[in-house]
Amino acid sequence: MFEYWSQFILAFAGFFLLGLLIYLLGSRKTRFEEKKTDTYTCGEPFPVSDVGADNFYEAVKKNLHVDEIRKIHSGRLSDYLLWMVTGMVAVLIMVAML
Amino acid sequence: MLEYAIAALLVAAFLTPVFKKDLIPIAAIIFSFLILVAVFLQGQIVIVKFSGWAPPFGIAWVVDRFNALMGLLVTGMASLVAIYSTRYVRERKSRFYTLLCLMTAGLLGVTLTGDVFNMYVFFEILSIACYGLVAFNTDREAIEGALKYIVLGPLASSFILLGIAMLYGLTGTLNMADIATKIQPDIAFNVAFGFLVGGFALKSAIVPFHFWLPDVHPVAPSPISAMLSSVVVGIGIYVIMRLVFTVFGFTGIMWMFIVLGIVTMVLGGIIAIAQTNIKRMIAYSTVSQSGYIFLAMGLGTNLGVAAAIFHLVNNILVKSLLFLAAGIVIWHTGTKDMNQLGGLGKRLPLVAICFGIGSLSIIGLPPLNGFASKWMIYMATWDISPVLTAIAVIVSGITMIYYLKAFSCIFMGSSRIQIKEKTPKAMLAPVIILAAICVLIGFFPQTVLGVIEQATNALLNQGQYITAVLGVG
Repeated sequence: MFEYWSQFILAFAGFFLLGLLIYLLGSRKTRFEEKKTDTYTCGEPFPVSDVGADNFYEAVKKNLHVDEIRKIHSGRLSDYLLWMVTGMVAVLIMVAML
Repeated sequence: MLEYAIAALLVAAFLTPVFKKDLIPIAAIIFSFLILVAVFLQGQIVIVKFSGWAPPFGIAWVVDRFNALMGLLVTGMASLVAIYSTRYVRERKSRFYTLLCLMTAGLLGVTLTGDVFNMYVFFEILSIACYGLVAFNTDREAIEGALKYIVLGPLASSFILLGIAMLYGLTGTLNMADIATKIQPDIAFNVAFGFLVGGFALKSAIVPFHFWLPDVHPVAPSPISAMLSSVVVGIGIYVIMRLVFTVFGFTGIMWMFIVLGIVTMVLGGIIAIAQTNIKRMIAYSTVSQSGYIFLAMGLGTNLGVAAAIFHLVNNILVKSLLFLAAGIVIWHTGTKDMNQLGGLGKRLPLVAICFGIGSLSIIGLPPLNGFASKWMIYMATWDISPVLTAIAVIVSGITMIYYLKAFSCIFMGSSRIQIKEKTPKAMLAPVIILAAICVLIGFFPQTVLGVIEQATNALLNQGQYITAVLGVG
């Protein structure tokens, strides 16, 4: 029924594994000078800092309006009940049109 | 033989608080798993008639290839969770295992039964056990989560009961096969169907019935979060599939499920990006993946339904893996906040590898099981509309965004928390087993595809089901 391992998928999987192999081999043999491990921004040393989970993908979150969508997940039980009843009404309307 | 699987779980649930031994519930759960393995290997429809009454007069359990597969997954996951919990749960173990046995019995009963009211009864057993397990930690968050679940759960149950009552009023029977023979193109049947779908949608994490889920799944103990996000959600989806194809016999494209599926997978994915609580993020991912399953199911084609079943199986495996791996991190560090975690890849390399496998799998990268099922979903949607395929691929990209963030925040960067204890083998083994299954299915999907194809045929062949149960075409 399903011709799963088509040539395309095999090639895709093969390239993925090849890339992984190259990356592993490359990272194994690379030797950095201590000086070169400093991070530079426009030629100036940049202090090492960790990015917290809060600050990840700020631009993505802004463009996808994540905060606006989060607001409907208020945590209030009465809101959840309202959404559930609304959903039930929507489903009933949709099945009535079947 | 099948009835002993649930009998053992119920007996263990009552014996555990008396003898206070972990071995009793673990043995019962593994025993039920072995029975399901035997039933699954039989490869034919098994019908259990209770009290000698032939269906449709008596209650009957009907096990075809689809629910045999689901039963296998339910008991298999429960076995791994039971082993994992021997070390994860540090106090009130007998109470925990009692509820776990009841939860497994409820799940298995819903899966195996061929009677809609019997299904409702097992669904209630499952729900009550879930309420107790969500509140198990008895902290403020757990109580709040359980309270939300206790208020919303019965509302869903009342929708289900209303749907069953309408079906009984219209057909005069509760047997699924018998109902299937009496379904007519009438708005009253559609309304009954709507109530049943709305009720079971609560467990299936479908938008807008999903709101409770990210508040409830993360506050439960991690092994229970794994059960809730994998098999409990999976059973909700299983029931809806069973109702759609076996009982109501819908054929062709179903736009209602496609629309619900798209909204669910997009919204779940987008909100997951913003999460900093690892368990809440995985819970939103569950919402998103449910959307994929409903999208594929709504296509109504053989390939679409097969893709939905395959992704359902993979979602059960991967969500269990991710929650159990996250559980080890929480067990060591005491926090679910990704802002406070970091650098654990060096301290917990095996957990990092397994969590990485789970993440890559659910993103849909080859050569893992998640890729195999997502590829089938892409192929199935392409046949109907390339726009649906594009949406599915874009949501996979969104999935990559939040899982790479989680992996980076937890396992990479500088180490912020010291780990003193070694990870117990009982906790590590289930995670490694699940990761190995994900890789094996990814490399050799043909072996599982044979089973998926049989399950798809069993689900779509309504006539065969009716003939097996009632003996008439």
